[in-house]
Amino acid sequence: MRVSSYAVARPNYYDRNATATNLSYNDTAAPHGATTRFIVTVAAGKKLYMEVLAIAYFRATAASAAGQQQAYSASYDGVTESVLLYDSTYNNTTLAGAGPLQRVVVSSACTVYAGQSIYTVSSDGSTAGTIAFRLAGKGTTFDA
Amino acid sequence: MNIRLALIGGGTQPFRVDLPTYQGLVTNETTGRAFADVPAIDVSPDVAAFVAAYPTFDLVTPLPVPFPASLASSWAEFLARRYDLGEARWHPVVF
Repeated sequence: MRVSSYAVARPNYYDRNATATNLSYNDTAAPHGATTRFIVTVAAGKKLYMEVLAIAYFRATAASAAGQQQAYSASYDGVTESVLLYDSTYNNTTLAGAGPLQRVVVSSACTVYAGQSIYTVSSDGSTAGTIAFRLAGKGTTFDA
Repeated sequence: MNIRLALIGGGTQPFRVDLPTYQGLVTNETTGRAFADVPAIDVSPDVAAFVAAYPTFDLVTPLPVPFPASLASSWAEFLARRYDLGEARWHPVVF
């Protein structure tokens, strides 16, 4: 009987039953409290390599009084703790007209493990008017 | 698939629906309803059948039939198994 063993390298993560994880929220919203626009939680036996998280927003229609506009992305460990990845808060209360407000943030990559989450939240404390939000994320989910 | 769900949160917690993964959340905080695009893999077949049987077109009109408690508990168990995290952390309700 011949017993042999091979030291075979593990495939790269993108070759381990990888699927694209695409997240987005593209809508024009009236003033609202903090609202989770998307969330992705990693299933058992998987990992998620989050390649891009992007936030952009601008005022679509004029407010009667501009308040704080915010969008942020965070990770959640699945138990108790959320970690802010980045925050885009615009607290200028003088620009109520359409157009001038625009914030864009693009993150670097991070890895998310089973049971953990990535999510993005928006809010607008203005009175009347609307904000157009363009919130997105792109990652790769693969076998752990 | 697009599902109209009960909105949770408020106070110090963000408004959201009680699911592990969704996107494109559109809310009505007054009626407590929200549309969310939920991955088909996270929706149990019996819940998908209920959603197909009672389509919703706005965030105001109540469902003609309340979401059965048995479907709610089976969906929570379905999610707990898929994410295998030891407990039913999510309890989504079609609303």
